[in-house]
Amino acid sequence: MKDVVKKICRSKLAVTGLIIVLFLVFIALFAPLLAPFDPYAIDLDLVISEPFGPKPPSWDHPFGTDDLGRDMLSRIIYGSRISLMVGSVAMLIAVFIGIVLGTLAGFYGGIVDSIVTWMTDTAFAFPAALLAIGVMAIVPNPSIFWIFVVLGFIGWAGVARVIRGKVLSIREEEYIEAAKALGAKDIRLILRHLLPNSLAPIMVTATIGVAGNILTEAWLSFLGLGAQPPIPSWGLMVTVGQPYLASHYWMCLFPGAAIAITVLGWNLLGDGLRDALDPKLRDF
Amino acid sequence: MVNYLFRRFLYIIPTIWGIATLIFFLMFAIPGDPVRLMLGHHGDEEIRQRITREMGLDQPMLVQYGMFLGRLLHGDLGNSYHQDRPVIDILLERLPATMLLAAAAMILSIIFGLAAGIVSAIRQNKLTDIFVMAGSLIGISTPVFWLGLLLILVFAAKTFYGTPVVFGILPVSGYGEWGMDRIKHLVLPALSLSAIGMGYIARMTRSSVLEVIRQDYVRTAKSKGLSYRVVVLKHVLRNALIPVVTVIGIDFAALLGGAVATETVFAWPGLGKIIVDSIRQLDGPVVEGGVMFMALMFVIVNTLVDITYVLIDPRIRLD
Repeated sequence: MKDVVKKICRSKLAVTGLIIVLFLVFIALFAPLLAPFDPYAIDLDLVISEPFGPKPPSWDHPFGTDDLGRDMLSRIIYGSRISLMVGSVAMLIAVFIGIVLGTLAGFYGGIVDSIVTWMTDTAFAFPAALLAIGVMAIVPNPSIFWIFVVLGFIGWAGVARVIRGKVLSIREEEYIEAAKALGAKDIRLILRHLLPNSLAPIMVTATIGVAGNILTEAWLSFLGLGAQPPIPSWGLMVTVGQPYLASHYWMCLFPGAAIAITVLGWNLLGDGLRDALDPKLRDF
Repeated sequence: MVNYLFRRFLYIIPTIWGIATLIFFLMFAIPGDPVRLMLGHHGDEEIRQRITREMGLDQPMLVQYGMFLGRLLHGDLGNSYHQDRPVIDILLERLPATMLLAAAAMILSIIFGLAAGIVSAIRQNKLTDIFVMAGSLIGISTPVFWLGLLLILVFAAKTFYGTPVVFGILPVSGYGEWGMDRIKHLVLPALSLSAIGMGYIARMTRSSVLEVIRQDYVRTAKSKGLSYRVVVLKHVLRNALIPVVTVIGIDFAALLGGAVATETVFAWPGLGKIIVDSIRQLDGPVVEGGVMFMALMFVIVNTLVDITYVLIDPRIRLD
């Protein structure tokens, strides 16, 4: 474990990514202390004061205000909670399903393997983004909750595929033979030997998956299929700002930049982890 | 070879069947009555029941599923609630715009992605490499829709805080007239849609070239005294580009998703725009058909990519 931490620390990519991610986690945790205003507080007096409309960045409102006079900075700070939550909760669901299916397929082989492989192949044959649109379009009230579910149930295929490959390769190792010979039960083999040794690829896949989830959430919310007003989701904030683009650029610029930086942070961390832990994974 | 091609095309059928099944069950799960949605609030109860019967919506699920597949075989995707004409007609009308946009974005990302990846690999760990790799990471991390809005902001603004700027030259919305006007309208959407692909292709090209450069046959070619140009073009690139082809297939999924956002941002009248519009109008059949159309495009492109892969890599045996 010490070795792993050392390897990660040596990778400039991973460290840069880690700093960005930790910074975002910090913002998300301490949002109420950091935000100068209530993100939901509407200030119509401000909007109707001259010149009429959303107010540009100023000392009071460093990122300006939106069309309802809400402070953009505070909304972006609270938005980090949503992106972090969607990214990680959906990923946990996906990782859980992926681990269960991938381990079963790799460990037992045979018919179980065939079924799981068929499921992953089918999942890969369908562009995830389209599936997300399909589901979000038919759920009665699109909301953050549904995004967790949809992204969680879409994302497992990648994890399952990686784990299956890893388990297949470890299964034949001598220490597994030894454990079996000593009479270890299947569940013990899986939990004590196979999973801990598959940790590196799981971490890499999950980290890059979080980046993808955050991007998809932003995109769904932008299309009106995710978070609903007045939730400060970054993607939704860009939609709200779109009609004001030419005259009040800050309403689109800052939330979009927040998405890009967050996704960049997770991607950097994922790339760095991959280089440090599992160079063989380099090409996807 | 012919045998392989035939089998590969045959493989499309179960995939499409799987996609259609998935969509049917998703749509079946919609709470609410589509007929009531179609008729609006002033629908007469008797008419409602008649239409439900005519559309077979009173049948058990499996019967409806069979009817759905049967209609699908005839290319019948049902009627739009909103426009009251066949979904297939609406989608076929929209298809060329999406194909044009996707093709343009694809070409842009292949050309620039390859060039950037090759340069980056040749100048490994130099400033150019770091710059290109940072750029491609930013490319895959930036939301497509936001990039589109930024391009609009930059290229459409005629003035910036009172100062006139020269950029207001490219149209930022709509499809334009056939010809030069169409191309002008295409530039910004295609550019914003190509960013993700550029990033993926550049990264893949770089790592693939780096791997090939270390191979023995490249060292042999160099020590034979072949010129740098010949080594790079004939020995390195030819082999390095093979894995890049697969990325193009994978990337197409991101491209289709991105097209939905890009078409919305730039009011580009393609499949993505009609899907989003139909979601807002609660026009189920069009959403269903549109998603199926796009999935079909994805399957076809990936089949073509697979075939290309076999064609260009003689090491792959077909048995």
